[in-house]
Amino acid sequence: MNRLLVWYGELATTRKLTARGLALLAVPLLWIVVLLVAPLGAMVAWSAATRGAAGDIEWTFTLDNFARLAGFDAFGWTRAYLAILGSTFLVSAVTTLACIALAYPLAFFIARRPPGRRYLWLALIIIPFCTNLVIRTYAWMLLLGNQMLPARIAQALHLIEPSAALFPSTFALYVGMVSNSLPFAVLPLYTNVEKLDWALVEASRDLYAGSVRVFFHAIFPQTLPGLVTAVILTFIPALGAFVIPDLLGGGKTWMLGNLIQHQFGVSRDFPFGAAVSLVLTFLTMVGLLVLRRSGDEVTFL
Amino acid sequence: MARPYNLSGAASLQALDNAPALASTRARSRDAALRFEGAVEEAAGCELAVTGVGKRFGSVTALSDVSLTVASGEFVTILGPSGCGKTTLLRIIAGLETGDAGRVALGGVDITRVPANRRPVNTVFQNYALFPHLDVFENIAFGLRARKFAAPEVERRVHAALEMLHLDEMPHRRTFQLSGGQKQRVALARALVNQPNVLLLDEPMSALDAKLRTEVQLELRRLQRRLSKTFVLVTHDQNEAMTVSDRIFVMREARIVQSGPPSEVYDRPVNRFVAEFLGTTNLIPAWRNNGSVHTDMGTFAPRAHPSWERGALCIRPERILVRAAKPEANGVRAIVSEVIYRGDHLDVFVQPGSLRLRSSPSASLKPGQQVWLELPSRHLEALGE
Repeated sequence: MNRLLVWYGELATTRKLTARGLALLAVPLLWIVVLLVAPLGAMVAWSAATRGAAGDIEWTFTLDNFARLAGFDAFGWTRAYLAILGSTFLVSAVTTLACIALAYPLAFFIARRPPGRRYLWLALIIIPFCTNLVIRTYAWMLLLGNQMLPARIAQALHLIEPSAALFPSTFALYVGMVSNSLPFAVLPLYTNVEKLDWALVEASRDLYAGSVRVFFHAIFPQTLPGLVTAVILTFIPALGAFVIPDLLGGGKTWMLGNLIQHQFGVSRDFPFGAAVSLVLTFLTMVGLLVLRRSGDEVTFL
Repeated sequence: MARPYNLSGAASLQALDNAPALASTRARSRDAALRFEGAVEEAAGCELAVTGVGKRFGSVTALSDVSLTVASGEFVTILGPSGCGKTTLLRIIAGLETGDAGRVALGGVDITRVPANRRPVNTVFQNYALFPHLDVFENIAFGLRARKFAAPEVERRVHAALEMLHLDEMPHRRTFQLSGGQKQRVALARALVNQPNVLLLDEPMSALDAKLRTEVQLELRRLQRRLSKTFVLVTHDQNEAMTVSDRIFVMREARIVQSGPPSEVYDRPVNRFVAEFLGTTNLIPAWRNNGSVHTDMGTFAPRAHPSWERGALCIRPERILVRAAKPEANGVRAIVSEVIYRGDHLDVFVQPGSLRLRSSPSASLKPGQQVWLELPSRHLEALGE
């Protein structure tokens, strides 16, 4: 139906407006199709295919790749892949918790500096991230080397063998993971801490609250939106990490990221790699949905 | 909607103090709360003493050698313009701020170093600072839960407080669903449910509209009389101070300049600042010569002979008397310049000296009329700075 109408002071017809709207939509639609739908479609297609003998792709529809991730293969059941899934979640969760635990004091520290100094401190936290992740990880390898102070201290305390380095180890893995994610936890928390209503903190002190009660009733509810963002921004990238586990963890702790990288690299098993990627994407989406729901409650508060 | 702020209803302090609840319940909660209640009972009937307290924020002096004592069950007001340090003083009493010098004692016990969460003192904050994630009931229960009172005891006390402040219809409302007056009552209940030895109120009326404010002031006064608790109110509103207090401490620039009952502070101000801050007043520049006090309007005999060379005479508008004939002393021949009808009185401005006076609405005063005024000695104060 073509109708004449006034649109923001302009005489137009519904047909003309529809055409204009579609034209404006074309660019973002193209963007989404090329960068999102097409790669995802390729992954879905690959995940249902089979690896050929030479690492090529045989287009046979199968769910074997997902079954393999769940542990079922030609020789029966193995927990190897599920263990990787488990360790991925463990490492990501511990990293997130450590980041939050460090980010709260840091955010309070920065928020209590004089206003002019705050940006200096924030810059100090952000600047390292202008450096490539691999280079930063190699820097940690240098710092955690057997001649450096941290290793020397650990040696003196008999925590590690004499003349041993601090990496590769689980400890080094967490150092890398936490240092990589920390700014993404500090920044959202800082924006909340900066505009914290201290009257609530004082009211709870006045009403006999100890530190724990002050935190959970005055600080936690007020910083919950920042906290949710911080969790999203640390947990989800941590799920896909592979450089740090490889270099600092020494490949001892395999994460889904390593598994995927391996399939697309050394193993040349694109279908299985695509299946693992899809599962990781799916789990990430579920996580986001859960966090978003709690985020909604925050705004309701 | 909002019920009248009437506290003289059925609910009473008994409901807060004496347990209609089971004896065993009470015994259990007693155990849990003994640690704290012991301190409260020990300090019962105690007086609040602030001695020589000073506080600086960088280069700004917020308090300078401030001392005051508040008797148990007294309602005092700390009155002063904004920035005079009155809120800082309140915060030091609450333990939210630490003074640079001086002591705070409660019932003879030094609490200067006792943190806020261990002082038997509660505060009603300026913007109430209610917890937005908790409902009315949980807001009021906050202090009791923090002190690990048993659940039935919390229930009983909170219900008594809700009833006392007429909030019993809305225990499960969220704070954003409350009106200003209701928020204020929740804040009051949240503090009083803890049975503090001293209740501190930091400009609690500033967020209420003028009409409600007067009502709340009267109810606050009634509530304080019935609970016979010590209340310390901070305000910049002299009307509020006069309405509620047994005693007023007037503060200016980090110091207490005068203290006393409202009538004394109003009738016998110690300096120009106090005279002008409380109500309206006439200040007449004056100087001393040969033992008498001179002004542009003639020679006057004030209540007490001044020690200064130059200063001011001060008289309240309602103390100036209009006379038909020349009075024996302190008389002024004046011309009425303006008459403003205020319903219950007339505001009359006269020349010379731009004096302002207040007379009965039936007085027949017209602009241009010549009158004799008497500035009675006993109401004429000689003020220095």
